[in-house]
Amino acid sequence: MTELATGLIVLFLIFFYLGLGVWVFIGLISVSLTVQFFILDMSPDTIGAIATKIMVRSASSWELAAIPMFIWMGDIIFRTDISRRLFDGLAPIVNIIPGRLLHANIVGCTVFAAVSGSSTATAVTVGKISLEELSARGYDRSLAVGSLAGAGSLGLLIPPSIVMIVYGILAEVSIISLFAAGVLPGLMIAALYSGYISLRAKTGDGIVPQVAEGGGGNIPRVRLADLVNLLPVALLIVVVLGSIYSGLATPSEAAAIGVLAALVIAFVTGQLSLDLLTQSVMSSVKMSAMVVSLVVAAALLSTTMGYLHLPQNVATMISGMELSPYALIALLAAFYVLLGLFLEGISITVMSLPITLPLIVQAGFDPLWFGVFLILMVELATITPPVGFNLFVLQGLTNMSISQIARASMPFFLLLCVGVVLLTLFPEIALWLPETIRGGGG
Amino acid sequence: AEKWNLANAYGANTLHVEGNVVFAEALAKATGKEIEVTVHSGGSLGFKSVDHFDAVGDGAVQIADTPGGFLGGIDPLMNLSSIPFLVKSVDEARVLLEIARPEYEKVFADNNQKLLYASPWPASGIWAKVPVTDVEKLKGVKIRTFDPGGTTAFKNLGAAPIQLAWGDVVPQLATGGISAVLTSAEGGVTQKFVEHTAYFTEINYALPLNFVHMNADVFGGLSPEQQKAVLEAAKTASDRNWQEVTGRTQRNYEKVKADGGTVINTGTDTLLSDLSGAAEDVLKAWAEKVGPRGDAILTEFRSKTSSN
Amino acid sequence: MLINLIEGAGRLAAVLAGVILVAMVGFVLYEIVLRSFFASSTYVLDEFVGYGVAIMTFLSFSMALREGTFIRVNLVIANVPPGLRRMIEVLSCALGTAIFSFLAAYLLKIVVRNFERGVVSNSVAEIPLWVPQSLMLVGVMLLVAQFAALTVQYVQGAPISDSSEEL
Ligand code: NA
Ligand code: NA
Repeated sequence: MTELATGLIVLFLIFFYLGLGVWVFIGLISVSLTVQFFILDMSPDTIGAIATKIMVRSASSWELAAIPMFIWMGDIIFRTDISRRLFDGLAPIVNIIPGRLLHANIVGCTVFAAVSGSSTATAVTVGKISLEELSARGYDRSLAVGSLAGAGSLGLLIPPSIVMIVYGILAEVSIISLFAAGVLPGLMIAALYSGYISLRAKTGDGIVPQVAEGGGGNIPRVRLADLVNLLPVALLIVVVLGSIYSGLATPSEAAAIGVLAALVIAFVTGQLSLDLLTQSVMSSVKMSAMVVSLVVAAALLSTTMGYLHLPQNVATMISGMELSPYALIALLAAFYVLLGLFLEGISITVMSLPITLPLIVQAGFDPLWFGVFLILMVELATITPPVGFNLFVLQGLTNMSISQIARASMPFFLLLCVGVVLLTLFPEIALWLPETIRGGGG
Repeated sequence: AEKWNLANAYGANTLHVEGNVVFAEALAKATGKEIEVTVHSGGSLGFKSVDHFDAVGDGAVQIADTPGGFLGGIDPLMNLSSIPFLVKSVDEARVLLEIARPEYEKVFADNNQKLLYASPWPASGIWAKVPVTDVEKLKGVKIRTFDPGGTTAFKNLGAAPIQLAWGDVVPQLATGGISAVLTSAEGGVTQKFVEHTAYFTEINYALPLNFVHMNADVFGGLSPEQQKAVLEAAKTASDRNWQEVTGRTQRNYEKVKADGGTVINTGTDTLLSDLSGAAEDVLKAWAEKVGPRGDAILTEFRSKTSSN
Repeated sequence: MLINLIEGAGRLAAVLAGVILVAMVGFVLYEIVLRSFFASSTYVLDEFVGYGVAIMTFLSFSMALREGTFIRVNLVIANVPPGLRRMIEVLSCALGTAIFSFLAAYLLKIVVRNFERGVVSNSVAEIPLWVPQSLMLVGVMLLVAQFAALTVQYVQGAPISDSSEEL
């Protein structure tokens, strides 16, 4: 049980440093250095060599580049009237749905997930566009933030997806099949989220503003002018999605198309100015610095966990238990939720896969299905404290505290767990679409 | 007991990670578990191949397994095995390695490292939407290549070499952003290329080497028996890999056919000689950069393989 | 005086970071145009953009710290008496100074070694690695300076910025 003890020590160190109130990235780096020096018994030279290499490597990443670019795109939308118009246009349309504009984060993240391969980029971009609008319109802040944290992680499940690409390469599963397999589970999760929001809106007070917007009277009226308001964002989505599916841009490059499209829209609507440019660039640069500081610190922490052999040893322990298929899945789910407390998506995948994948295949599960299962586990990790990226970026966006955001995300964590159960009981949710495509396409 | 970490950026089912596991098991057995090596595949320690050289030299990891192409920036000599069409078979790759080994060892030794063993990847070929049987079929074709040598060679042929991250390759194939890929049969099989590019042309483009290198201080600190055990385990893993690479190529061809693809490995003599011609620039540029060391290796290699 | 200099340098670096962000977007668009319309490529897109992300973010670390963009857990610090709060701030900044001084020292070692060995990237561009890495080092050193400046300022009794306080 030394694994358990080590895991608890690391967890304690994280709570200790972060609780102290140091900046999160400083805290996570401190945890790593402490563990390397005291537990792994490494010399300062070795620690320095490891830490600087990981720092440079994790920050100089092509896959990471989409994040600052999408942040910039979101910031342009935020600073022009594109975001206000979007909500003005949506308001009368959603009037009849319980929860009204509170669904905006879920729909927004689902759509944005189709252009972005990252959970962080999805949460931060949609959040920049929606959160202030929702607050100003009197919607429940906790539900808005929680749904954003939960739905942001759809960026990984709905194609394209960076973690799916990594899984596909390592598990030798077709990336295209994986992408197809993520679509229905992604829509299912979105539906679960929306169902929950409708339920809360019907049963709770003060969740949505009293007066319906746009229509004024009892009967909501959708006018042509409202639809025109939706045009800029619709155009933006069509252009970026179109650039990916026409083969013009890779998913990694689509963010640059998004920035260009947002700038063109700002220009055409007469809102592009030097002020807007400099303000949006400088604010994006700062936000990106915050995100990358966390990426670097989390990478160092996961490297440290790798040196501890913690994920490998626990996975090996599970493999020695000879469990029935469903018991194995249940135990693996618990294992991944625990790993997700400390680690982020790609780390979780690469560290556990060499041991868990053979187990899964032996137990008779389809590696394609397991890919989707693993993505759901990774999604859970993005909203669990103490190390949860969606929690971090939302703190950066809202100035709410991590514990508040974690509490607001809790229902969505549970809904994701429901999604995992459904996916396990009905694997066809993931497997039907790729099989149909393969069957039809030859 | 010694506990070592071995870094490899590739997946658990690749030839080289399997070889690392053979090495670790042989070493554990020979030393009665005195030396235990943990293999970190898939880059799970956070290092990419390009970081391995310094990571081993600085003792961040004891051992790493690294494709030569990632070491070319440290010393262009290490690009030798990536030069297109220099070696045409596994046997020739072995001959070239034996000739160049002292120079390889020196590069590692100069940087506080010891070369344990080197073994090749399966040969790369061309995956394409149409059967590539002559260079005309490559004119203007957007083909993903993986190193500067490939870029030069395919540019010379009038193709349009494109550089993409490996993860972007399949999405780009699916959407038509590119229409051909230079990689091994295995690389295409694992990613179901046949759904997009049904034809694989064997051109034995190159059999690039992976180097397994170890921190020299750690090796120097071992007892003579332990050092002997390390070298013997390295030989076991190396022998296994060299043997495996041939069988693996055949198995992958079977898989291509089973997936509904076509392997083209006959009637390509003109194509191959045109390709070799296009790649001569790469060899020349390499020899110029490396100097007399390189000339000596090439001369000896040609004298030993002149019968072909 | 020195503190103004540090803040000025941090702002200047952040402006440079902004230029890099714009250049990155332009570079990606350029690659898309080359590949889609001219069947060509820059051959260095992922390499250059990779450097770009790291340099851009490292260069803006200093200003992000100064302006309170980095996140922290406020549970304790928002609920302690002012004296203790000041002590925690000083300790946090001192810890930041220490950690990033340590990292800067080893990063410097890497930069110097890559310069001496003449290590280049394994792409057609063959970029000497010390060039992008020294720009990253500048960012880390500016962050160290900003951490140190904040430590001194808090010791001297400067008001603690409460920008991100809420419970
Ligand atoms: Na996505
Ligand atoms: Na987490």
